[in-house]
Amino acid sequence: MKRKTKETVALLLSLAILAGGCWYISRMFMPDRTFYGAGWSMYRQEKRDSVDVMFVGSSFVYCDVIPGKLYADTGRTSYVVSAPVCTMATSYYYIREALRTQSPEQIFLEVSSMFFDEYSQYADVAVGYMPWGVNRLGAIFASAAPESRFGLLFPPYSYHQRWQEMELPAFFKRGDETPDPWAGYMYLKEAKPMELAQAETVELESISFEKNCRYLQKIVELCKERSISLVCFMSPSCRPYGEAELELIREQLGDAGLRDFNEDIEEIGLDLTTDFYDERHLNFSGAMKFSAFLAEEYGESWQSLPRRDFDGELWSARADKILAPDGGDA
Amino acid sequence: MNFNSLEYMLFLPVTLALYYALPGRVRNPFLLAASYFFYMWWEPAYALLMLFSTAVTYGCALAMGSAREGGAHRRRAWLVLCLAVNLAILFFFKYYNFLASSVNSLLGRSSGGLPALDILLPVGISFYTFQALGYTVDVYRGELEPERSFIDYALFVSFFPQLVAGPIERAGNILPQLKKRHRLEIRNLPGSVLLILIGFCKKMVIADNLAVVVNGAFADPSAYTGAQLAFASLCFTFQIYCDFSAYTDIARGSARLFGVSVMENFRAPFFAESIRDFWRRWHISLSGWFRSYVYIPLGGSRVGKWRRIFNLMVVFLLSGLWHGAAWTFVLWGAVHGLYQAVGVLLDPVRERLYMAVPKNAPAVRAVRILFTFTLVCAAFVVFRAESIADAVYILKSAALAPFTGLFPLAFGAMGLTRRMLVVVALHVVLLLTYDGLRDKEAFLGRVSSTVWQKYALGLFLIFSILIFGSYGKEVPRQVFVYFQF
Repeated sequence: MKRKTKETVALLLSLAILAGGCWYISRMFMPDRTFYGAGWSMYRQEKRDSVDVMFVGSSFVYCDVIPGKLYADTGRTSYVVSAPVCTMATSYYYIREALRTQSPEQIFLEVSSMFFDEYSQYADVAVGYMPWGVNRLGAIFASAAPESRFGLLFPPYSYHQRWQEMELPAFFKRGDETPDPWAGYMYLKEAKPMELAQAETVELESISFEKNCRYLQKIVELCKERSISLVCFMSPSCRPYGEAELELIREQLGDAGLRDFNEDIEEIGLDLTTDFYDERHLNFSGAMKFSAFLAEEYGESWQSLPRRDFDGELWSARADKILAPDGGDA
Repeated sequence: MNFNSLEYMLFLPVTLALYYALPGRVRNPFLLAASYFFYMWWEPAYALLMLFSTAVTYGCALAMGSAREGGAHRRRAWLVLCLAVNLAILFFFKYYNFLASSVNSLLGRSSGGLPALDILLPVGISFYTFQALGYTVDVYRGELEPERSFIDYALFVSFFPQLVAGPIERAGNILPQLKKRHRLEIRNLPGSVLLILIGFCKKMVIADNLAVVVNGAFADPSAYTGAQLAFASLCFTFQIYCDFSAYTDIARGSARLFGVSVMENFRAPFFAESIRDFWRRWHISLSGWFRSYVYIPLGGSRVGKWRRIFNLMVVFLLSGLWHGAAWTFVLWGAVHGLYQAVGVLLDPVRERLYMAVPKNAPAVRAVRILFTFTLVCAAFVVFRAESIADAVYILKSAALAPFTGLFPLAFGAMGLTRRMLVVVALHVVLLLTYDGLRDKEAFLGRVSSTVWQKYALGLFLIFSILIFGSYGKEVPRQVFVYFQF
């Protein structure tokens, strides 16, 4: 082989080894994500175009909505695509990413994130587990603080030291993820007695409300473009936002409107002493009641949605799981 | 700008690309601007100080050149002026607070004595001042013509690869290279890149990981056992070597990319067979500077035994003081001076001994290397300790370790996991093997000219850094130890 050809081959081979090595390091050293949202690897195991309804937002979604219960009550499939402190910008990129493999008829967007800061302190998780592509890049630059971006663009920066604590089999992790038995829901058993607190007010100057509005509008446009019905809602909480804050969101949403479930805490049947995990998150018991309420309110309209080809066995297991939640992955 | 920063990873290739893209006559002004940019990244205002020092040495050297016919007095006056101004700057920024606190504590004054000033030590001031002073003395001695081009001279002082932590270069080596018009030699690239990667590997895999052990033990020695302190001292010896020689490797590799060959600063110092030999291998540029501009003018070795010992003590005390404004550094210099003094006194004994036992016998050499290394290790404890009292405590505890219990060593409790300790130890073995090569340059040249070997070595170094390197979100960035000097 001529020296020039040899050089070129060696260079290309080295670059390939370098890229492959970085990919391997990122994949092997990043901890698995199966709890508390951002479970993208499990989401990607979901049968293509099998989800009727999608729930998007922060922990207020993955703690409050149980797709297994919705399926048991309505027979329709749903999935919770969410992450801790998921900013509105991240929600936008989450929806875009989720729509690459699913085509839901309806998206429920939890809009508490309208009052989140511009950058999430959980961006490492919320964005770090997103599949590689333009949506991940978009989320990195829109919702991660500048000092966190390098670690998200180059994961070994954040995780390379994990080799010191990993057991041998973890170095040979294979791509054998299974679908999430909870379809994005996070099982929380513990109950803490709560009291209804005074409505929370937000100083708009301290957050990036304008940016959040911009991304909310982008979500509205995206749903319109894909003919997806969008429902913006506030999940039930012991510390709801004040009327003035809700009005600000309503102004943004116009005709789309805002569904505030805090108005229905009694109708939902939430018991403040047994149904909350903390001030803002429902536990399993509360989530079951809230999901039943959602099924009742929307179940009828969902019946008109076209039937999809979904994995019946998986969804039956998910419906069964709510009957014995401790027996599974919890 | 730190070498071990993302900024430098961008700065170097961009500067390199622009340098070779520009026409020849604007390359040096560009490289000068880039070097100042590199320096100003840390503290812009102090670039003015470097510029002032540069202007003074440049002007004084020119004045000395033009006063050549005018007589020795005028030349000497210019030299004294140049030395006085530069040493005054160095003294003010580096030693004033040390002097003030020493005087105040000597007089027992906690207030009302010499005031302490809130000044930041300009990075690299000791390096560029010595480099500029060396040039001035060379011109004074007539060994060098004064440089006419201010741009070239300023670039010699501020050339970014070796600006902050050396090597302290000689104008006679660098200036002629800066005047040449360089062409980008693709075949030279791998050698330079490999040298830079070796530097990063030493710094990030060995030095910065060992820093975890060292920082903990030296911050609170009383919390550690004698064996642990002995281990921490050993770790520091390797840490400082890897840290400092890494800087030199990156500096040399970076300079080579611009066609400039910077001198070697370390030559397998841990294979030294005596302290004298150690100083021929450790921080060669500083040792050379002191030899040329202090030791030899004092009479060097061509004087009586006691005068030679005096000369050695002066050089090593100054060398200690050069490193930092603290008594620990002065003591470190004094310890090395004493080592050398004892060496001089024992010369006749050694001569007789080597008549009985061959000096070059492998076992004898091994013992000499081990003994020298132990002395160097012990001296570095003084260098690193927070105070002289700490240094004494560490040395005492470490020396008594065999009697107070070597086991359990509990190295795992010193901040590094067992796995990391094994990895670092393996890298140290590889480093010592590399150091043990008779001609490292030839080795790198050979590897660089073989396609598969150079890529294999490059990939090995990159993956070592990526996986085992001390970097990342939750890892505090360790600056190069010699940045503080």
